[in-house]
Amino acid sequence: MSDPGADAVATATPRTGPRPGLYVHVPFCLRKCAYCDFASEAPPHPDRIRRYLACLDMELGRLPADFRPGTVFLGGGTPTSLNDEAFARLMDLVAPRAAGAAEWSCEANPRTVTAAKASRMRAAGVTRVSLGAQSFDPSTLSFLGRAHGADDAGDAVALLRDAGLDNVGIDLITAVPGRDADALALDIDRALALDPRHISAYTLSIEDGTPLAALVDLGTVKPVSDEQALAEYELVRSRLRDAGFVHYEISNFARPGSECRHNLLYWSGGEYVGCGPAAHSHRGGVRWGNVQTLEAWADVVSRGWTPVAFEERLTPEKRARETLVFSLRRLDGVDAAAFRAATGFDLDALCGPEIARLADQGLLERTATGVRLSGRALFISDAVFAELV
Amino acid sequence: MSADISLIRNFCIIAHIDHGKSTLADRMLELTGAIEARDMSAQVLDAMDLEKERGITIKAHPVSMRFKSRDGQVYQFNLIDTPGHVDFSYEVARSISACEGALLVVDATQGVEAQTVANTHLALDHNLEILPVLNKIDLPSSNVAEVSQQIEEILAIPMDDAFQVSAKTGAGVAELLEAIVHRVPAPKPGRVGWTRALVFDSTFDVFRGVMPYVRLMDGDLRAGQRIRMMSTDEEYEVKEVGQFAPKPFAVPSLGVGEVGYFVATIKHPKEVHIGDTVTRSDQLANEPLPGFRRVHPMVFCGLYPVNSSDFEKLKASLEKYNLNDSAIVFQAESSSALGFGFRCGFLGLLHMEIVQERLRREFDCDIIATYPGVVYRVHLTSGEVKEIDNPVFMPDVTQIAHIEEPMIRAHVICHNENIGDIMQLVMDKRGALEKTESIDTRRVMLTCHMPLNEIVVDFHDRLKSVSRGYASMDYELAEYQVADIVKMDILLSGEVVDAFSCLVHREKANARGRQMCKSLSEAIPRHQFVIPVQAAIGRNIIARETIRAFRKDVTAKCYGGDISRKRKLLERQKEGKKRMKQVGQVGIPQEAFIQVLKSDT
Repeated sequence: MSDPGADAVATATPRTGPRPGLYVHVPFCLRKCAYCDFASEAPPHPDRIRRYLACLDMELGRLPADFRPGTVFLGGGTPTSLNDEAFARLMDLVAPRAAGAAEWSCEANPRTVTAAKASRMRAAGVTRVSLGAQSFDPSTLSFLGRAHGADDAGDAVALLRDAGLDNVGIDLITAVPGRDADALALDIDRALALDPRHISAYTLSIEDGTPLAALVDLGTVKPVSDEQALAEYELVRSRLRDAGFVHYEISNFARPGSECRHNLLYWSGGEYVGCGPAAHSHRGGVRWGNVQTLEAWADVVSRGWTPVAFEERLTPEKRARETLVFSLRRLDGVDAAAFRAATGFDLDALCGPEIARLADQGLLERTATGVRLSGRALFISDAVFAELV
Repeated sequence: MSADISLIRNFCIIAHIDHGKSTLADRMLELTGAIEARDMSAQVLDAMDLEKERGITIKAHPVSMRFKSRDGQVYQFNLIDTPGHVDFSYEVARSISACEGALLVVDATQGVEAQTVANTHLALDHNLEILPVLNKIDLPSSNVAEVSQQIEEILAIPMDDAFQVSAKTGAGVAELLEAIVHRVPAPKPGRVGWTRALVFDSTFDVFRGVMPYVRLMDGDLRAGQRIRMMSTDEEYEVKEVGQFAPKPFAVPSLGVGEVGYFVATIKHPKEVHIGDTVTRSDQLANEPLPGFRRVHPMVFCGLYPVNSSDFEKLKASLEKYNLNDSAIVFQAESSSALGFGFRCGFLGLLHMEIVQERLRREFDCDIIATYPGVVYRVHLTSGEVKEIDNPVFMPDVTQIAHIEEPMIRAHVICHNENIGDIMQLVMDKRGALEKTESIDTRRVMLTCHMPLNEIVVDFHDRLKSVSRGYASMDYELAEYQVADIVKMDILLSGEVVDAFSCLVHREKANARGRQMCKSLSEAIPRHQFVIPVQAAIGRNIIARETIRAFRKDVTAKCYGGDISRKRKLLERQKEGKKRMKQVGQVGIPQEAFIQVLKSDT
């Protein structure tokens, strides 16, 4: 097996711009949600967790000694689905790598947050917690197959605050079949009542192979119409704007200054290294992805190899186009000068005619320094990106 | 040595599809020893796969047999096979005029069908001696008495001396051969001092060039002679003359009354015209044989490669195909929607279908066919008359005095209980019923006068559907008739898409326009903007549908930094868009062109 990851990590000279990120994937959940096609196991088995932590130790240990990420993100899965003891071990493994990071996020789900885990996060240096509340409506939660009830999110936030973790973000899901606009408005209100600094509002997507997709195929569940999904998206936008949030990325809202820096790396063509099964990395001009399953990943890592399942090196033009379309996910758009500095391409030389046509159609807007999606293009942004990629 | 004219019998077989023509021919070849039973692949005469599959003869060659009669003489039998479909009716007529007799084969389990009627009339017009033959008498479902009565009543052919055979088992076939000797007249002696041979078919061989099939009416043909084609005045040198038994074999000469082929220095099939007269340069005939006319395509459509880069391949395929079917015409054209392709003309519907099918199957061409149309005669106010087969070239309405369209006379045979539905269908297609005749207690034959334009797309399918497959139809071209024909355009986002333009009768325009808009609005995917789909006559919008804009096309979340997967999905989305035909801002998928053809109601 080739070893592009270690190679790239070891030899790449840091580029100008933000420091790279570190992503750690924790592939366990209390249970699998009906819509989820992420790499995770449910429920977590103690032996599997032990194996995971042992191999994660090895993988993190192989990062270059001078790899100092600017941001750290623990995602999953549900990191907090580990019991107190295993979670403490996870914190211990990541903390040395996170030293000096400006931001350390950890995903958590209601009902899995305990006082012990909260204080351990605080002690290890976690700076923000992203809580997967999704909804506060019992029937919506049960439809989605979530492992928590309507009040669990509030309890989790209280535990986190008690431990001194003030920077809490909340995830919500929109376009859930069977939930009307009033119920969504109520969900937004209950999320705001918890005083989060960050809100991610993701439109439910029906992924092949999930129980939800099977129900849709059977006709038992009727997906929300595009029109309703758009109306819900607009409802979220206006409510959160009124509440003082900045809409900074297609699905993300934050109090000014509380944007998730790690996620911004993904959108801006930044560098990051992922550890754990199914984690992705981008460094030194190479993108690679780890093997998907826990067994395969653990097997490869424990033999001392690099668990890379795929890698790709893009031509400069493809790379530039990729940076362009993912940067456009940010509402402030792409700065032409910064784009030229990062990719070596002039925006108009790369795709001036396409930009002009999309601007004519009212989907892109020229700004003083570059270009951005128009408000009406946000919810059909893939159609715009497909013209530019 | 040419044969004794009194010992020659030239005949053809008239039969409906599946009534057993080819099987009977096979049995005759076997009984006369022209072919050994063990060498028989079923139905020797039908050479092409497509013919075998559909059970129809598109093109076949004449076969010569030696038959020893009970009178002790050995006769030369020439069986001239005729194409089985109306699209080739001119070729059928030429083949018939090369014969003195015809076997009228009717399936005793099925009875008389429309096609049989048309071809029998042709044979009677040419004064052929007709021998009625009831086939498939071995089957328990055969009904000899009733079918005999049908033949007498519908075709006015006396059945006193009809033959009952089973081509499958061979029963009755020997008797039939004997009867051919006595009932089919020998050829008439030709004019002394002239040579005239009727070209009734031809084939193409890469090594030998064109091989015309001929019937000698006067004089003789042999290798070394210089001959002249009377319609073109082109001269050639004969290299070989021969007959088929059923494989070609050279003979020293073809004499008067005989049937065979010749090879000359003819390079391209376009130089040979069916129905033309071959004469000798040293014995020039003063006048050609009667009945020659150049055949003109009646149905036209555009053929375009699905992939624009396959234009050269389609061109080469059409040229190669043309060598074995000189009846098609094609000319390069371009469409703003479909790029470069060909305007193709066909003898009729079946011909069009067969050509498209063979291009796809034998030449591996992926093609889109545009809406088919017919040839209109457009009378301009200036007095000039233009023949228009492509809506794109229709003159401006202000220059048009009136338009004439080609009519057909259709014979439909159906069960009594379907008469109402079929008459309704005929009226929907702007047709008129001319005559109704009972065939037997269960079936009737309807004779209708209809515009050719109305049957080019789905008449046949609908006929089969309302009759649950039982009705059969045949047609012959009738005269041109004044009609209120208009050009209908289809507009997408206000732009005319030329590939969808068609010529329709004003009364049918609204319905056709609505239907086309509806099927296009279903076949074209949503874009990020609203697309009006309109049908228009001139500036007058007669139908409209709207393709709503899509409202949602967004990736909510890129999980775990997996940018690569998302980028690939976007790239695929971009590729999918590229594969569509772009007309202005609108992407039209290939299926839309096919859907429109199915849209007629």
